[in-house]
Amino acid sequence: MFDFSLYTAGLPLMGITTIIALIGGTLTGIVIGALPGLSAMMAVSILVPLTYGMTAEVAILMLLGVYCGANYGGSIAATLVNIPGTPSAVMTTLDAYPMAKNGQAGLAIGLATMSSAIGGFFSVIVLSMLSPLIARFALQFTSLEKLSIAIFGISVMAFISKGSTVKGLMAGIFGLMVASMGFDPNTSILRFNFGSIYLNSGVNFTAAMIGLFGMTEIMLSAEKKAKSVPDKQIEAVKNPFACFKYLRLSLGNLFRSSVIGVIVGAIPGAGGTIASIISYAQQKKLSKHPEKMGQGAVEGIVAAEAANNACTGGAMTTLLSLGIPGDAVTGILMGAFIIHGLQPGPNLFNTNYNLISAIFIGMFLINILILVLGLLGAPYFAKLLKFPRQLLNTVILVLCVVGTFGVQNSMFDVRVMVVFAIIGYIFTKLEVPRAPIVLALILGSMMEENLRRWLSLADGQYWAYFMECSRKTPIAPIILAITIFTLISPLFKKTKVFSEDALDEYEEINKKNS
Amino acid sequence: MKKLVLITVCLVMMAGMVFAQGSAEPAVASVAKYPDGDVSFIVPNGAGGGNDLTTRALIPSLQRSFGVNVIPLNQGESKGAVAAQNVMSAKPDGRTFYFNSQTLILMPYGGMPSIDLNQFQPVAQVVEDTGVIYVKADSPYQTIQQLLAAMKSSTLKMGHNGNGALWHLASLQLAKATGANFRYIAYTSGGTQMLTALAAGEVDLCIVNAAEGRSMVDSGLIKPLASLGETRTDVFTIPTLVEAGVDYIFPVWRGVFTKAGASEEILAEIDKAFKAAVESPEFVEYAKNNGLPIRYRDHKEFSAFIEKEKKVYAELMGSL
Repeated sequence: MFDFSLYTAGLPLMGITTIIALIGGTLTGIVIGALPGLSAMMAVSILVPLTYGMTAEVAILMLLGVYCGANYGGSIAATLVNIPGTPSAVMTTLDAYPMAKNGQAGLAIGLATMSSAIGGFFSVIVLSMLSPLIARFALQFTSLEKLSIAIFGISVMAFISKGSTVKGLMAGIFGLMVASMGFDPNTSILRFNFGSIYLNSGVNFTAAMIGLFGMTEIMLSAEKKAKSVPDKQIEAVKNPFACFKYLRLSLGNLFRSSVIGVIVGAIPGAGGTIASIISYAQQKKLSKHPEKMGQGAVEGIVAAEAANNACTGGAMTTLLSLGIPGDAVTGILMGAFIIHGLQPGPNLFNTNYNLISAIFIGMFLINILILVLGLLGAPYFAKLLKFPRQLLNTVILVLCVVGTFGVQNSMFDVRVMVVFAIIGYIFTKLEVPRAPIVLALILGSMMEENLRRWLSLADGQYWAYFMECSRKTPIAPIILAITIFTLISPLFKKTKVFSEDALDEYEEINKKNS
Repeated sequence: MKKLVLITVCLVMMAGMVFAQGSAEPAVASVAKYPDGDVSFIVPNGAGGGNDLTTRALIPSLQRSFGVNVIPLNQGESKGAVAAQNVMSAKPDGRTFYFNSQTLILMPYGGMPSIDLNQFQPVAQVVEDTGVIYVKADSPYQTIQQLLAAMKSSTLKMGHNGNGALWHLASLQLAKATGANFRYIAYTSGGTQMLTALAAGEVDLCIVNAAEGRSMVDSGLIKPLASLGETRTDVFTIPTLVEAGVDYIFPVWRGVFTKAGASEEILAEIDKAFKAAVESPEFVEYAKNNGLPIRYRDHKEFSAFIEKEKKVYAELMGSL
């Protein structure tokens, strides 16, 4: 008989505080997502330190609300000002903005809301079905298996970076170098601490994240002139409910895009932007009227938004079941788990069964909230775009500093944050992606620790010990085989894992629109 | 041009705010009354951990005794090295407390030679815990006698929480006492990580305290064989190692220190306050709920005890 307790065990945790945190988080997420320049990554990274005083379930569900909310909220700015509010809304701009220019801003936002919520729902179902299955092998994930997962995660880094692969790898190597600072995980010998006791355990992860994604964004946005929103378009945001007329027509599209979203979300380091690009390109191939896409087509909005929100569940699946973040935001979420004394990974299903259940329930509620808040609140969220940028940036700057300090009451961390903000700024100017740094910071130490431990377990008999481990469970050789396959497959096929055609297409359409 | 100047001024001011660290504290003159101001209590861990909760359970009673605020400061950076450094640079006025276990004594050996143990005045011991030897639930060694026999005849894999850390020391001493030869495998994230690996069969045995292993013992994944205390533990019904015929105990103590140099009068005041705190209902209940055996030693007894411990560890670390 199927055991439903995993889906009900969390109910007692859903007290009034948790629900308030959930609603508050989702609302904050939508607001932050709706404001151009403030990404989901930044929102989560600056809010993590605010959760210290909360219990684990309240903190995690609030942050999940922010994550999912921000992913959706990006579509509002995309519709009204042709700027993706969060990077993952790029593909939404292509059709939503032309639709808004035709005076149908309400319909565009409505469609984005509906698709986001359905994509999100779908991904939570996948998350709640699949992650316990993967986690059942919890105790089979020993050092060798964790090492293989880390190697796989790091090798994927080469494919996911937008633009130059070499630059993406450079960012990854930089992250790996930073991850090697502090105590050696095996012998506890100090290395690369630059003579400072503050660096004895390396760079604080949260501080580095807030610098790279919070403060860097402020610096980038400060140098740009804010685009003003014509009042006419904000007033045109009415009757978003009209979107339901298109629901039946789009069912196939919704399902397809959600599947793409979940799969891409589960690939370490990929994430919403890539998911929506792939799903948009796919829809264009299948569409009966491909020439209309890019000029305000319903199917374009649906494909892009369903895919980028479906990513959330995919990314959470690998985080909860394997302990590897699916994208940069879940990387930061992983930091939040650890701060609250929870180590994401298969064992979490044994030690914190109720919390896992609460996460499933919470993510269902969050997607309902997105639907309700999005449809009812669309006209109000649109007004947010009028909020003066300079005030907003100041508030966020303060949050970055206070939040970093709060991690471990350390002024040194604030300096680390500032240094990483400058690094992030320089990297962005050089078009070096920042996401691989996060991945490398997390996976780098995981890889080193498990490799060193496995080597000392093997005691010189590497091949024999590898075979002995593989006989117990074939997980490691399978993961390593997949890794080798992904690494060598581009040599045989001309297309990259994520086809460049889709990117070119995006740039082409974007040029036409602007 | 004006704009540029303005921006530069702003940036300089911001940088000043970010990088300024010097704090202006009023000079302390009067010795007559102790404490003549709020007391800070440094915890070398983040909020919510074992040491932090223990400290916070002591604080309500300390505030009643001292009549001032006792402010917990969580300084978990660099595995507590920063916290220890801050104690060393504090004033010797008995108004900075610091909570730690033998982790403090191990610091100078664990890559932090700048930590000078003579700068720490022991004030009060509050807890005396111990380690428990665990094996996998379906391990071939189901009793401590079987395990001891296996230790002598083969090289077992022993999990520990990092070179020079608490449980590594416990296992080194065990090896010395029994003549066993272990292969040491490090799990630097600590107890849970170590116990999970034990349950997965990656290592043959490990030593962690009773409270940390309780949930995994209850779920049938691992099995406790013997405790390393002077007396039996309340958590499991298992023999001590001494009962099993090995002359070795490993007390894990936790206590409070202050910067060395405070006068005897001040230390006497502190003794009174900590004795009351350890006996306070808040602390007794906390210790009971968390499986922590209370053991109070005043500053004189605790100092003597620490001196002995320092020798033990110096010898042990020297033999590494």
